[in-house]
Amino acid sequence: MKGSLLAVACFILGLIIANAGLSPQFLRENDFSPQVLWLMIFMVGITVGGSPSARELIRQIRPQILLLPMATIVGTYAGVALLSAFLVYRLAECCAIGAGFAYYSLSSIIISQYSGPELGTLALLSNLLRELISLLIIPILARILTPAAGIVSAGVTSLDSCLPCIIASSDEKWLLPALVHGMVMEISVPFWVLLFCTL
Amino acid sequence: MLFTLFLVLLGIALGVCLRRTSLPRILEHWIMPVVWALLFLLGLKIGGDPALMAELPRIGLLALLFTLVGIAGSLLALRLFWHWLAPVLPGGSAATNTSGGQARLKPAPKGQKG
Repeated sequence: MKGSLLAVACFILGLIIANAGLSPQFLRENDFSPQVLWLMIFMVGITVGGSPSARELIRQIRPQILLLPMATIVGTYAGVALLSAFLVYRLAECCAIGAGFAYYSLSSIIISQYSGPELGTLALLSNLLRELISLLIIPILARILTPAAGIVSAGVTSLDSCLPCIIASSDEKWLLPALVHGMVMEISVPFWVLLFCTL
Repeated sequence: MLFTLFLVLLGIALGVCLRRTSLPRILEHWIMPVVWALLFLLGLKIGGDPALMAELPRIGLLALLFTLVGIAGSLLALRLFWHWLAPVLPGGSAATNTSGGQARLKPAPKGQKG
Protein backbone atom coordinates (compact mmCIF):
# COMPACT_ATOMS: atom_id res chain seq x y z
CA MET A 1 0.00 0.00 0.00
CA LYS A 2 2.87 2.35 0.85
CA GLY A 3 4.39 1.65 -2.58
CA SER A 4 1.07 2.45 -4.31
CA LEU A 5 0.72 5.73 -2.42
CA LEU A 6 4.29 6.71 -3.32
CA ALA A 7 3.59 5.87 -6.98
CA VAL A 8 0.49 8.10 -6.96
CA ALA A 9 2.46 10.83 -5.17
CA CYS A 10 5.18 10.74 -7.88
CA PHE A 11 2.54 10.97 -10.62
CA ILE A 12 0.75 13.89 -8.91
CA LEU A 13 4.06 15.64 -8.22
CA GLY A 14 4.87 15.42 -11.94
CA LEU A 15 1.42 16.81 -12.78
CA ILE A 16 1.79 19.75 -10.38
CA ILE A 17 5.34 20.63 -11.45
CA ALA A 18 4.47 20.58 -15.16
CA ASN A 19 1.17 22.39 -14.66
CA ALA A 20 2.98 25.15 -12.75
CA GLY A 21 5.47 25.47 -15.60
CA LEU A 22 8.37 24.32 -13.42
CA SER A 23 9.25 21.31 -15.56
CA PRO A 24 13.05 21.18 -16.13
CA GLN A 25 14.14 22.31 -19.59
CA PHE A 26 16.08 19.10 -20.42
CA LEU A 27 13.03 16.94 -19.55
CA ARG A 28 10.78 19.06 -21.79
CA GLU A 29 13.19 18.76 -24.71
CA ASN A 30 14.10 15.08 -24.29
CA ASP A 31 11.80 12.15 -23.58
CA PHE A 32 13.72 9.58 -21.56
CA SER A 33 10.65 7.41 -20.87
CA PRO A 34 11.33 4.72 -23.54
CA GLN A 35 14.87 4.07 -22.28
CA VAL A 36 13.76 3.95 -18.63
CA LEU A 37 10.85 1.67 -19.63
CA TRP A 38 13.21 -0.76 -21.38
CA LEU A 39 15.40 -0.79 -18.31
CA MET A 40 12.40 -1.56 -16.10
CA ILE A 41 11.08 -4.32 -18.37
CA PHE A 42 14.53 -5.92 -18.44
CA MET A 43 14.73 -5.74 -14.63
CA VAL A 44 11.24 -7.25 -14.25
CA GLY A 45 12.31 -10.12 -16.54
CA ILE A 46 15.43 -10.84 -14.46
CA THR A 47 13.50 -10.85 -11.17
CA VAL A 48 10.78 -13.15 -12.60
CA GLY A 49 13.35 -15.58 -14.06
CA GLY A 50 15.50 -15.56 -10.92
CA SER A 51 12.69 -15.95 -8.41
CA PRO A 52 13.03 -19.26 -6.51
CA SER A 53 9.37 -19.06 -5.45
CA ALA A 54 8.29 -18.94 -9.11
CA ARG A 55 10.00 -22.24 -9.94
CA GLU A 56 8.76 -23.88 -6.73
CA LEU A 57 5.21 -22.78 -7.49
CA ILE A 58 5.40 -23.99 -11.10
CA ARG A 59 6.32 -27.47 -9.77
CA GLN A 60 3.29 -27.54 -7.51
CA ILE A 61 0.77 -26.30 -10.07
CA ARG A 62 -2.04 -28.65 -11.03
CA PRO A 63 -3.27 -27.79 -14.52
CA GLN A 64 -6.83 -27.07 -13.41
CA ILE A 65 -5.71 -24.30 -11.06
CA LEU A 66 -4.68 -22.32 -14.15
CA LEU A 67 -8.41 -21.79 -14.68
CA LEU A 68 -8.21 -19.25 -11.86
CA PRO A 69 -5.99 -16.78 -13.80
CA MET A 70 -7.93 -17.79 -16.92
CA ALA A 71 -11.15 -16.58 -15.25
CA THR A 72 -9.50 -13.24 -14.46
CA ILE A 73 -8.21 -12.84 -18.01
CA VAL A 74 -11.34 -13.98 -19.87
CA GLY A 75 -13.71 -12.13 -17.52
CA THR A 76 -11.80 -8.86 -17.61
CA TYR A 77 -11.57 -8.90 -21.41
CA ALA A 78 -15.28 -9.74 -21.71
CA GLY A 79 -16.13 -6.82 -19.41
CA VAL A 80 -13.95 -4.25 -21.14
CA ALA A 81 -15.01 -5.50 -24.58
CA LEU A 82 -18.62 -4.86 -23.60
CA LEU A 83 -17.68 -1.42 -22.26
CA SER A 84 -15.80 -0.57 -25.48
CA ALA A 85 -19.11 -0.74 -27.38
CA PHE A 86 -20.17 2.45 -25.54
CA LEU A 87 -16.85 4.32 -25.74
CA VAL A 88 -14.86 6.12 -28.42
CA TYR A 89 -11.81 3.94 -27.81
CA ARG A 90 -11.01 0.95 -30.00
CA LEU A 91 -11.57 -2.58 -28.67
CA ALA A 92 -7.81 -3.27 -28.63
CA GLU A 93 -7.19 -0.07 -26.64
CA CYS A 94 -9.84 -1.04 -24.08
CA CYS A 95 -8.34 -4.55 -23.81
CA ALA A 96 -4.86 -3.04 -23.30
CA ILE A 97 -6.23 -1.00 -20.37
CA GLY A 98 -7.90 -4.08 -18.87
CA ALA A 99 -4.76 -6.14 -19.50
CA GLY A 100 -2.99 -4.41 -16.61
CA PHE A 101 -4.99 -6.55 -14.14
CA ALA A 102 -4.04 -4.05 -11.38
CA TYR A 103 -0.38 -3.96 -12.47
CA TYR A 104 -0.76 -0.21 -12.89
CA SER A 105 2.91 0.76 -13.15
CA LEU A 106 3.99 -1.48 -16.00
CA SER A 107 0.73 -1.32 -17.99
CA SER A 108 0.27 2.45 -17.79
CA ILE A 109 3.85 3.12 -18.82
CA ILE A 110 3.77 0.73 -21.78
CA ILE A 111 0.36 2.07 -22.89
CA SER A 112 1.45 5.71 -22.63
CA GLN A 113 4.45 4.90 -24.82
CA TYR A 114 2.46 3.12 -27.50
CA SER A 115 -0.97 4.81 -27.35
CA GLY A 116 -0.33 8.24 -25.83
CA PRO A 117 -0.61 9.85 -22.38
CA GLU A 118 -4.44 9.91 -22.25
CA LEU A 119 -4.76 6.13 -22.46
CA GLY A 120 -1.71 5.76 -20.21
CA THR A 121 -3.44 7.87 -17.53
CA LEU A 122 -6.66 5.91 -17.96
CA ALA A 123 -4.72 2.65 -17.52
CA LEU A 124 -2.90 4.01 -14.47
CA LEU A 125 -6.09 5.12 -12.70
CA SER A 126 -8.12 2.06 -13.71
CA ASN A 127 -5.51 -0.46 -12.56
CA LEU A 128 -4.77 1.49 -9.39
CA LEU A 129 -8.50 1.52 -8.60
CA ARG A 130 -8.64 -2.23 -9.20
CA GLU A 131 -6.08 -2.72 -6.43
CA LEU A 132 -7.80 -0.29 -4.05
CA ILE A 133 -11.34 -1.59 -4.66
CA SER A 134 -10.12 -5.20 -4.34
CA LEU A 135 -8.56 -4.41 -0.96
CA LEU A 136 -11.97 -3.17 0.16
CA ILE A 137 -14.13 -5.98 -1.25
CA ILE A 138 -11.93 -9.06 -0.67
CA PRO A 139 -13.32 -9.69 2.87
CA ILE A 140 -16.89 -9.24 1.58
CA LEU A 141 -16.36 -11.55 -1.41
CA ALA A 142 -14.72 -14.17 0.83
CA ARG A 143 -17.71 -14.08 3.17
CA ILE A 144 -20.56 -14.08 0.66
CA LEU A 145 -18.97 -16.02 -2.25
CA THR A 146 -15.52 -17.61 -1.96
CA PRO A 147 -11.95 -16.39 -1.33
CA ALA A 148 -11.32 -17.29 -5.00
CA ALA A 149 -13.54 -14.32 -5.91
CA GLY A 150 -11.18 -12.02 -4.00
CA ILE A 151 -8.21 -13.55 -5.84
CA VAL A 152 -9.66 -12.93 -9.32
CA SER A 153 -10.70 -9.43 -8.32
CA ALA A 154 -7.17 -8.62 -7.10
CA GLY A 155 -5.54 -9.60 -10.42
CA VAL A 156 -1.75 -9.38 -10.22
CA THR A 157 -1.91 -8.01 -6.67
CA SER A 158 -3.10 -11.40 -5.32
CA LEU A 159 0.66 -11.99 -5.21
CA ASP A 160 1.62 -8.96 -3.13
CA SER A 161 -0.49 -6.11 -1.75
CA CYS A 162 -3.82 -8.02 -1.63
CA LEU A 163 -2.28 -11.30 -0.41
CA PRO A 164 -2.43 -10.46 3.33
CA CYS A 165 -6.06 -9.40 2.92
CA ILE A 166 -6.93 -12.65 1.06
CA ILE A 167 -5.31 -14.80 3.74
CA ALA A 168 -6.79 -12.76 6.61
CA SER A 169 -10.31 -13.13 5.19
CA SER A 170 -9.96 -16.90 4.55
CA ASP A 171 -7.10 -19.10 5.75
CA GLU A 172 -3.56 -20.06 4.81
CA LYS A 173 -4.80 -22.85 2.50
CA TRP A 174 -5.59 -20.12 -0.01
CA LEU A 175 -1.96 -18.99 -0.12
CA LEU A 176 -0.96 -21.32 -2.98
CA PRO A 177 -3.93 -20.49 -5.29
CA ALA A 178 -3.37 -16.77 -4.64
CA LEU A 179 0.37 -17.04 -5.37
CA VAL A 180 -0.08 -19.17 -8.50
CA HIS A 181 -2.75 -16.80 -9.78
CA GLY A 182 -0.63 -13.70 -9.11
CA MET A 183 2.50 -15.25 -10.60
CA VAL A 184 0.75 -16.30 -13.83
CA MET A 185 -0.84 -12.87 -14.12
CA GLU A 186 2.43 -11.06 -13.45
CA ILE A 187 4.28 -13.04 -16.10
CA SER A 188 1.51 -12.58 -18.66
CA VAL A 189 0.79 -8.84 -18.20
CA PRO A 190 3.70 -7.48 -20.32
CA PHE A 191 2.77 -9.84 -23.16
CA TRP A 192 -0.95 -8.99 -23.06
CA VAL A 193 -0.38 -5.23 -22.87
CA LEU A 194 2.19 -5.26 -25.69
CA LEU A 195 -0.08 -7.44 -27.81
CA PHE A 196 -3.10 -5.14 -27.52
CA CYS A 197 -1.01 -1.98 -27.90
CA THR A 198 0.21 -3.13 -31.29
CA LEU A 199 -3.14 -4.38 -32.64
CA MET B 1 7.03 -4.20 -29.67
CA LEU B 2 9.39 -7.00 -30.71
CA PHE B 3 12.31 -5.24 -29.03
CA THR B 4 10.35 -4.88 -25.76
CA LEU B 5 9.26 -8.52 -25.94
CA PHE B 6 12.88 -9.50 -26.60
CA LEU B 7 13.94 -7.55 -23.49
CA VAL B 8 11.38 -9.40 -21.31
CA LEU B 9 12.48 -12.82 -22.60
CA LEU B 10 16.17 -11.91 -22.36
CA GLY B 11 15.60 -10.72 -18.80
CA ILE B 12 13.78 -13.96 -17.83
CA ALA B 13 16.55 -16.09 -19.39
CA LEU B 14 19.23 -14.05 -17.64
CA GLY B 15 17.28 -14.29 -14.37
CA VAL B 16 17.18 -18.10 -14.66
CA CYS B 17 20.96 -18.14 -15.26
CA LEU B 18 21.56 -15.78 -12.31
CA ARG B 19 19.11 -17.45 -9.92
CA ARG B 20 21.90 -18.61 -7.59
CA THR B 21 23.25 -15.06 -7.27
CA SER B 22 21.73 -12.22 -5.28
CA LEU B 23 21.28 -10.00 -8.36
CA PRO B 24 17.56 -10.81 -8.99
CA ARG B 25 16.74 -9.97 -5.36
CA ILE B 26 18.82 -6.76 -5.49
CA LEU B 27 17.08 -5.68 -8.71
CA GLU B 28 13.69 -6.37 -7.12
CA HIS B 29 14.35 -3.47 -4.72
CA TRP B 30 15.24 -1.16 -7.62
CA ILE B 31 12.12 -1.76 -9.72
CA MET B 32 9.83 0.47 -7.65
CA PRO B 33 12.16 3.53 -7.74
CA VAL B 34 12.32 3.13 -11.54
CA VAL B 35 8.51 2.91 -11.61
CA TRP B 36 8.25 6.08 -9.52
CA ALA B 37 10.61 7.86 -11.93
CA LEU B 38 8.49 6.75 -14.91
CA LEU B 39 5.24 7.82 -13.26
CA PHE B 40 6.82 11.18 -12.44
CA LEU B 41 7.74 11.55 -16.14
CA LEU B 42 4.18 10.54 -17.12
CA GLY B 43 2.86 13.17 -14.70
CA LEU B 44 5.15 15.80 -16.29
CA LYS B 45 3.90 14.85 -19.75
CA ILE B 46 0.21 15.13 -18.76
CA GLY B 47 0.67 18.22 -16.57
CA GLY B 48 2.34 20.00 -19.48
CA ASP B 49 -0.65 19.36 -21.72
CA PRO B 50 -3.54 21.72 -20.77
CA ALA B 51 -6.06 19.85 -22.97
CA LEU B 52 -5.30 16.57 -21.21
CA MET B 53 -5.45 18.23 -17.78
CA ALA B 54 -8.98 19.46 -18.56
CA GLU B 55 -9.94 15.86 -19.40
CA LEU B 56 -8.77 14.38 -16.07
CA PRO B 57 -12.22 14.23 -14.33
CA ARG B 58 -13.68 12.39 -17.35
CA ILE B 59 -10.70 10.02 -17.45
CA GLY B 60 -11.13 9.30 -13.71
CA LEU B 61 -14.78 8.33 -14.19
CA LEU B 62 -13.91 6.13 -17.17
CA ALA B 63 -11.16 4.49 -15.11
CA LEU B 64 -13.71 3.58 -12.43
CA LEU B 65 -15.98 2.06 -15.11
CA PHE B 66 -13.08 0.00 -16.51
CA THR B 67 -12.29 -1.25 -13.01
CA LEU B 68 -15.86 -2.24 -12.20
CA VAL B 69 -16.50 -4.09 -15.48
CA GLY B 70 -13.13 -5.84 -15.16
CA ILE B 71 -13.89 -7.10 -11.65
CA ALA B 72 -17.50 -8.02 -12.50
CA GLY B 73 -16.37 -9.92 -15.61
CA SER B 74 -13.74 -11.82 -13.61
CA LEU B 75 -16.34 -12.87 -11.03
CA LEU B 76 -18.73 -14.07 -13.74
CA ALA B 77 -15.97 -16.02 -15.48
CA LEU B 78 -15.05 -17.58 -12.12
CA ARG B 79 -18.67 -18.73 -11.78
CA LEU B 80 -18.50 -20.26 -15.29
CA PHE B 81 -15.27 -22.14 -14.53
CA TRP B 82 -16.29 -23.10 -10.98
CA HIS B 83 -17.31 -26.66 -11.86
CA TRP B 84 -13.72 -27.49 -12.93
CA LEU B 85 -11.97 -25.23 -10.46
CA ALA B 86 -13.67 -26.19 -7.22
CA PRO B 87 -12.05 -29.65 -6.88
CA VAL B 88 -8.51 -28.19 -6.88
CA LEU B 89 -9.22 -25.29 -4.54
CA PRO B 90 -9.14 -25.47 -0.73
CA GLY B 91 -12.37 -27.02 0.52
CA GLY B 92 -12.69 -29.22 -2.56
CA SER B 93 -15.89 -29.59 -4.53
CA ALA B 94 -18.12 -30.72 -1.67
CA ALA B 95 -18.74 -27.13 -0.51
CA THR B 96 -20.82 -28.46 2.35
CA ASN B 97 -18.78 -26.80 5.08
CA THR B 98 -19.80 -23.19 5.26
CA SER B 99 -17.10 -22.04 7.67
CA GLY B 100 -14.88 -19.08 6.65
CA GLY B 101 -12.89 -19.64 3.49
CA GLN B 102 -15.15 -22.31 2.02
CA ALA B 103 -16.52 -22.11 -1.48
CA ARG B 104 -20.09 -20.92 -1.77
CA LEU B 105 -20.40 -20.01 -5.42
CA LYS B 106 -22.33 -23.20 -6.01
CA PRO B 107 -25.66 -23.02 -4.19
CA ALA B 108 -26.25 -25.75 -1.64
CA PRO B 109 -28.81 -28.36 -2.71
CA LYS B 110 -32.35 -27.73 -1.49
CA GLY B 111 -33.06 -29.06 1.96
CA GLN B 112 -29.38 -29.01 2.94
CA LYS B 113 -28.59 -26.92 5.98
CA GLY B 114 -25.72 -24.41 6.15
